[in-house]
Amino acid sequence: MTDHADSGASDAYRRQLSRDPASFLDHAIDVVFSLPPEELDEIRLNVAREKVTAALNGTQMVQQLAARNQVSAITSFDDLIPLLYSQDTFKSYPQSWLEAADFPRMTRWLGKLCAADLRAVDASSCELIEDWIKALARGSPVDLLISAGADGKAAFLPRTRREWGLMHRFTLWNFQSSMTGPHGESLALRPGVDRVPLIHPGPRSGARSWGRFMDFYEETFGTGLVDAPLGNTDADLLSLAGRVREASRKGEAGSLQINPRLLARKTEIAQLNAEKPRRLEALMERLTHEYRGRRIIFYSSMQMLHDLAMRLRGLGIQGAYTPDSFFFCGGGFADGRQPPHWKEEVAEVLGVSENAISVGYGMQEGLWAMALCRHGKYHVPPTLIPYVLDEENDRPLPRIGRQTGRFAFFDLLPETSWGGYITSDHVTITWDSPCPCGRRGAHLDAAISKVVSRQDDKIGCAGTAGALDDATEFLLKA
Amino acid sequence: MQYRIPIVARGKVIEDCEVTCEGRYGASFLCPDPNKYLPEILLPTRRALEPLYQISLDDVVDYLIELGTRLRIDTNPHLQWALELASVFNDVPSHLVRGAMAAFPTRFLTREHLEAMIATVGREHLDGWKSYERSTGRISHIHAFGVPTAHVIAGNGPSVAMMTFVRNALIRGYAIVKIPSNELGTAVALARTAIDMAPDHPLTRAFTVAYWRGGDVDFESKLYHPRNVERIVAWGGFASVRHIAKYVRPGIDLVTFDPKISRSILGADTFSSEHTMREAAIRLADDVGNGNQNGCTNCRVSYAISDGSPASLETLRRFGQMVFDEIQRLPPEVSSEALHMDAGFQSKIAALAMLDDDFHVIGGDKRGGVILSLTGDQVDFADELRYRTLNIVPVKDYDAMLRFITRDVQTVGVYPENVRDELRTTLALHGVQRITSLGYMREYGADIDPHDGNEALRKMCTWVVAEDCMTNYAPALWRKPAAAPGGRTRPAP
Repeated sequence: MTDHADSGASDAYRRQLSRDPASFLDHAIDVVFSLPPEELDEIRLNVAREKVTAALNGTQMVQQLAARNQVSAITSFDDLIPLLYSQDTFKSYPQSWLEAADFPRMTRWLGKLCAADLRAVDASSCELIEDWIKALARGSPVDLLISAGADGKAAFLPRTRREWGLMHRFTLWNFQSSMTGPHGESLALRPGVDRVPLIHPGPRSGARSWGRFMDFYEETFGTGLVDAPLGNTDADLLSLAGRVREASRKGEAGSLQINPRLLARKTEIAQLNAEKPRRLEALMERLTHEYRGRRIIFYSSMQMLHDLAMRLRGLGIQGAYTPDSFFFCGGGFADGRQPPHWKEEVAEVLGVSENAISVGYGMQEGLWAMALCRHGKYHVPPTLIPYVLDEENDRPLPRIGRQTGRFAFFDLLPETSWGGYITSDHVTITWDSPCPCGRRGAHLDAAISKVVSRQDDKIGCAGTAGALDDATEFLLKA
Repeated sequence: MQYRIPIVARGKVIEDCEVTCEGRYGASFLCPDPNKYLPEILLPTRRALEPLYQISLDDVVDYLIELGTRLRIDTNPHLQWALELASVFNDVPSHLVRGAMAAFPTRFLTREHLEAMIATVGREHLDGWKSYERSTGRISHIHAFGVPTAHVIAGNGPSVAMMTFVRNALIRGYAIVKIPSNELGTAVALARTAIDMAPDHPLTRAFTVAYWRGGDVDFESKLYHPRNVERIVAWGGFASVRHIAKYVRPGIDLVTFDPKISRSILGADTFSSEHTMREAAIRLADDVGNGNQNGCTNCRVSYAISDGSPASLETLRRFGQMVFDEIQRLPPEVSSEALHMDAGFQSKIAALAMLDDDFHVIGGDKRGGVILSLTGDQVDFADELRYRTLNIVPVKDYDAMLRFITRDVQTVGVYPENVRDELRTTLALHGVQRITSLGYMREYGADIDPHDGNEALRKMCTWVVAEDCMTNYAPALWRKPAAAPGGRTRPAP
């Protein structure tokens, strides 16, 4: 990273960015993070204003939030806050519609969250969520994202194929930018030249967003490069998992209705479940032998990467892969604590420099991703307006100094879906003191946790209680 | 301002506050290290219970009535301190906390009320050994005793601490009260008022109060042992009971008062005239709004009998508006607007407002709201409705409603009255624990009437039987029937 990016490139970048936020993907990382923060903020606010104007004409949910909170004009970043969605927004449909497989009504609901045109979607014959995903893909630009929340209800995000494309390019840009050799030289993958296997100890496809990136990777660098052995994450099973948890909590699991078509697949699901450990083990074997000495790209949680390295070390292996290999991980360790010097130890076993292990931060609700810089900070990309909110009352904390609280953002990349979102992450943002890595603008500390009620032994008398259960097991016993 | 929460152990106030604890709204407080004072918190020996049984039940009642005369907020500095703590750490508005505290003497500490509580166990069982002659001739003398008990109390208002004090005194147990971090003051204030009144009285020394972090394994694994406590009375839901449940074993019984929700049923006659609609709306508004809908007795969902026709739904719309308007008219000492609304809750309401073919939303902001489910679907977050928000669900008949009724439903308010007589057994079989007249849901006398399906006071006692087998020479295996002089003889089984 250099302090002064080429000024010609910088000017072009600045002009393009105000017209098209995604244009930053065509620039090098040092150019992208070279804009003076005030100037960047002005561009961001203008783009956000355009997004709001469009949404007030095209997205009913945004209209509702604006009307309920008397938002008419956007004069500052804080004016956007009442318009942000939350996890609850993406699951604000009545659960009974999903249970009754009333997908025409689900489609109408989904259409109110975004500006995508869903009128041509025929969901009348859908019985399962998987059917609905296909119907949406046939009749609209939406390639539906599903995620299961902790409270049992599935969340649905109406992301379009174009938006997915932007997200994949962003992810690729991020990790290509992070792939540098010991002297800062780029080791980025060249389409048509480098055929490097992408290995992921998880599902290859399905409800989770990561499967789509693997498709994109193969489209970009060649088919047959992805090795992700855990099959498909089934959207209906994911949704059922949440409902089983919730029903058990209420002591109503016995009366839960399971879609007969899902029930019919019981044997298949049981078999897949039983095969998981064997498939993972086989991948570990491939990583020990077949991939050894080769260049690989590996994506997993920190825990799994650490497990792999410890296993290799246990076999007496050092320098398992070529130094231009690349490892990137999201998610942390199982117990939430990073072992001291883990990166150093892991890098040695894998045969790469510590720079080749990239830790990322992102979430399904945004099209952005951030990778830790060498000084341990996540730099906020130009297409993201970040916020730190007071965890008790969601009021914005001042955009100066260092602030800790709930993370919220307005993502400028989405086109028909809505980019404003209040997360459940507890973060610390430094607004105005530069990072030694040279990138300008706000940055987040590496330590990110979930917002928890500070007062977790508070007891009230209103609510419901029950016990927890496991979804697959429930289905298998049904 | 850093608040200091002492431990009050067996009549002594320990103010060695050296541990900082996190409370709500970023406020913190200091308290003594409970581990350091565990010996003071625990009963040193079971003999320490004996003084409790050297006084009579009448003495207990007199003590409590005397205590009541000292629980006046304007003159009692301890209650004033508790009120201040509640304003910092609790989300129940101060004036509501004040109102609840002001009611202590009249609500809990009258002779009439205390006698009614005593009657739930039977004075004869609490004040001595009641004799029962059994058919075999054996005479059983039965006495209900209080035992060393940990009370993990709820903090959604000050009354739980008061109720715990009275319950413990009447059964003459030894209470170790774990105070919640949102209601730090009331239990301490009661213990200190008792010390001011009668420092060496056995009842004063039988009420110990401490804060420790719920789930503190170090402390709880020492405390929750049968040699220290025989009962754990736990308020709170799965999360708070889960870590307590692991200490339950033979020798420790668990009495739980788990979180509940309440609902109401509006019979077809509700909508037969303008007058009945108005009457029901006034009552329902109180059930929804009192105490700002923080309690388990607050109504969150109303099932309204309706044929689903446009005319009927129009009537329900009008009725919903009446309820909303009446909520706005609730006096400030009963209910008030929300200060802050959670973004997630707001977006749930906004989503329903968009789905206007299926839901009709009135208000739905800081003033409260009424959500009418036009197609009969109860909202998914019915159990979490707050900020004075009600969901009215039209149902074609009572059968259509029963699928929503589970053991989580504590109270069902009914209108008109005949609905109770028609439905009470059915509701009970579905798990409902209390059925009452609409508008009276908050008037729950859980200290006299069954509490969440429990005979709480009886359950908190250990019931001891002292048997006399000799007065009547009750038959025994070793006693041949023929050899029983003057006794009742019966053939051996």
